[in-house]
Amino acid sequence: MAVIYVENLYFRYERGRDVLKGINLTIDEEMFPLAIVGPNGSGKTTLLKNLLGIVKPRKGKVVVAGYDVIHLSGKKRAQVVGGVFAHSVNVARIPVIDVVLSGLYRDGSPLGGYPDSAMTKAEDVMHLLEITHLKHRLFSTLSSGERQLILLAMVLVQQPLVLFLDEPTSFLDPYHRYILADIFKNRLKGHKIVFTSHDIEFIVATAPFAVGIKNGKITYAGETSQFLQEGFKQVFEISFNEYVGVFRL
Amino acid sequence: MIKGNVKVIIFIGGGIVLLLFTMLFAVSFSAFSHDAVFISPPESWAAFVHLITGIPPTSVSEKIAIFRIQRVLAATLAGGLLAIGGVLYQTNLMNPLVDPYLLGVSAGASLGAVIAYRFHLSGPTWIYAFIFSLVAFSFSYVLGKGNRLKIVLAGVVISSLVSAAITLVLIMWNDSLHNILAWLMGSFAMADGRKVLLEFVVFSLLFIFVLINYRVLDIMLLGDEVAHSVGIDIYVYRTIFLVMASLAAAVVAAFFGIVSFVGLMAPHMARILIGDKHFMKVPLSVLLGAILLVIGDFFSRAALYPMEIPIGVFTSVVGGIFFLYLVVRGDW
Repeated sequence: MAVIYVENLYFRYERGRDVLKGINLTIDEEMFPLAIVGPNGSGKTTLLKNLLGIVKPRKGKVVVAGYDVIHLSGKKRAQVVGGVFAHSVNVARIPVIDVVLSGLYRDGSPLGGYPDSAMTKAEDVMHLLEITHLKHRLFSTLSSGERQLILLAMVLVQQPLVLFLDEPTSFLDPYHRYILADIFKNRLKGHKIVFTSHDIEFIVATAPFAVGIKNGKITYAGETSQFLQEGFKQVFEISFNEYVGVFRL
Repeated sequence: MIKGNVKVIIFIGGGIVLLLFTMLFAVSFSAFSHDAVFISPPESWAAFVHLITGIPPTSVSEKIAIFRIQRVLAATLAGGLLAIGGVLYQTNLMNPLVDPYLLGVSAGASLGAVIAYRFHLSGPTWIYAFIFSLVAFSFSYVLGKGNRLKIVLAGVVISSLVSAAITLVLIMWNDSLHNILAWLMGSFAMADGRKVLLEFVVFSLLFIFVLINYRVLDIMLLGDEVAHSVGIDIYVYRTIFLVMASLAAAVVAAFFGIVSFVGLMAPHMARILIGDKHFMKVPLSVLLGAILLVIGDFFSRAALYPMEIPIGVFTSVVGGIFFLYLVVRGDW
């Protein structure tokens, strides 16, 4: 059974033009981690929002892990899908540990407590991401990169069946980008991760499969190595070789 | 399983809550005693006990005390209601500069009162104020379509339209101008037992509901997408919270007129003291709001005795100074 199944998906924001124009996509069990690649404004983030059930499609069908996500109840949905977007807000004067724990909102008791295992889980994930030292800081005082790592920790604690990340490396320094790549490759094996990214190095290092998207349409879906040879130019106007030629270190 | 600084926050928060409780009691009891007629604390305590146990007052001073106690209780609960309303608005709209009057509640209440006064409608004025404020809120909410930014815009639009209607009524029929102006600036002189009881019921329900859902409020501050991801039905909760907050503000506006700034100020002060953990921020805001209004009411009846200053004057001055301080400090 396909883990992600999208059929004839059309989506537009209020009074706008269609951002997604008839997306058809079938992602099988073995195609993770999966990178969604495309130019600015191509519809990557919007596609992610549709897959997470944040927005309602104008037409079409979105099924993740066998569930019609838009019709799931909140708590059930949190077991099936979870995700973090690149542009986080920073008004919350809330201790970091509470932010990470909120990944387990669905398991909390109606009166507000978390199960005993929650703190251990949160601490383990923070240790994995090497952000334990931020535990007692207030979320509002962190840098963009630190906030990104905290929200990543939150969604890892949540452990949904499929995990969606919007440009996970956009604010990260090289060290944390390295750590994240290592985690993707070695420690989250078996996790079903889908991420959008412009970070070609990171994609090559972590995602064996890629989906190319341009102007709201899927242009490629298959192995990343193949994508670089065939799909890259279709999406970005230049070939992968031209791109690498300029940035060769 | 509470660890580390979370423990510290609860400890400090608990300390502050205790301190504020003591303060509220002290302020309330001096408000019971002092005014044109001095009533000793034991006497006002006796009156308080009689009031609660339903024994009729035994002396004139006790009667006066009971009147003052109702007033102080009304102010305490109004402060609490406005503070919770403020917290809910600020969190749900992720905007620290909004108050529970934002969606036309105050303008609607004013229009209701103005119409009731002008056309000498039968029944208590507050009923008209309450109905109009809820109508104004509903319009803003429906226009805002549950969207954070649109709601603010819709609130501003509806408020200004309603204000235009108020001005029109006032200009065309200016015979009840004094009554209306006094009402618009708010006063707890209109307090009575029934209003206090109603306030208490609304306050209790709201307070319990908000405390039970403190984690939802915490997570809302991380943004809609995060809230959605962890399993919160954000539009449902936002609607519930905003309706409840507006109801709280509508009750206060309808009973006692427009008491401005408290819903804005109390949550801010609490936030500076303890941060955004709602489990702490809500009780703290409630206490601060209550203290502000009890002091404000005391000031409004005692400062220029025998004349009574509308409480809105006091809260606007204090609120203005407080926000000037925030602007200079550059931190909100």
